[in-house]
Amino acid sequence: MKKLAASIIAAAMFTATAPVTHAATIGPTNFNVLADLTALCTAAAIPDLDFGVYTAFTGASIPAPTSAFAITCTRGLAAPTFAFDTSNFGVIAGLNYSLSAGSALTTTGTLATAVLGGVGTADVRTVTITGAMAAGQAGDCAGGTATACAGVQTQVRTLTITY
Amino acid sequence: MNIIAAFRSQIRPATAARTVILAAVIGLEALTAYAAQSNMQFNVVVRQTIGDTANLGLCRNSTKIGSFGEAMTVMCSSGTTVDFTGDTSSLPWIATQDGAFRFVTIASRTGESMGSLGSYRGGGTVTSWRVVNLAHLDYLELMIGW
Repeated sequence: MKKLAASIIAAAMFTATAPVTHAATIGPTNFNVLADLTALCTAAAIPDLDFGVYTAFTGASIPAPTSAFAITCTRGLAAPTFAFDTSNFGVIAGLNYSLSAGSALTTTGTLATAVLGGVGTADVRTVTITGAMAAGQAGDCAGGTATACAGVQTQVRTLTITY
Repeated sequence: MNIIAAFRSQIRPATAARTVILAAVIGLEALTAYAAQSNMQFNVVVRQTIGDTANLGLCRNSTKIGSFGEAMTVMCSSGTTVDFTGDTSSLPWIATQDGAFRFVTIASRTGESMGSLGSYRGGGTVTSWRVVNLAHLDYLELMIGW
């Protein structure tokens, strides 16, 4: 009887200590998080660059018009560069003009944070195209008469934004 | 242990250095390769005017000046001939510096005014003048540019 009691007590002690002895963790083990970011800039349509009314031998009512629009870019990209198709000059209705473009960072995006919903925001730049049309030009009347060539003349140009 | 660490453990240091340099070069090339472009179209707009609106037109200058007095003929690029008799406010075009006009006003004869024959007042710059002596009349002729 004594032996039985001692065995029960020993078994109880072994059972009580067993879980502590066997608690264990694996690691820490490192793992990789991967992402391949394709940086982009997006933009809406560019407004018309409007020189207004040009009176021959006098000048344009808007001799240096501007056309501004916003581009939204991946945060941290350097300032983009700009180029026009063919050249920075053009001729419309026989009137020579020049183009230039530049941008300014208007809104700096915010960094993403490692919390729920901590999504960052984009950089926003304002791009401004500026035209210049010299005064005193004769122009070119394709219609043969002043009446025929009067009115709005439109020329499509292309701006290339490199970022 | 990540992949780079595993890779380095299998190569000699000198080889590892060359590998790092090569990776840096490839990285630079990759940056260039990833420069992106966007093409966007826009319109350049201008409006031409015609010569039949007051103060707007295609007429540049006078190609004919009246032989005497205030009459002048202007040839427009539109092919329209415009005649006027001295009142510049009725011109359908902007008078430019190329324009010229001959004004005549009476001087005097033997101390007496001869009236206002051919007189006219207008703005401009006197570019030349002369006194004309006729048998019955002396007068001052001014060439005005505006």
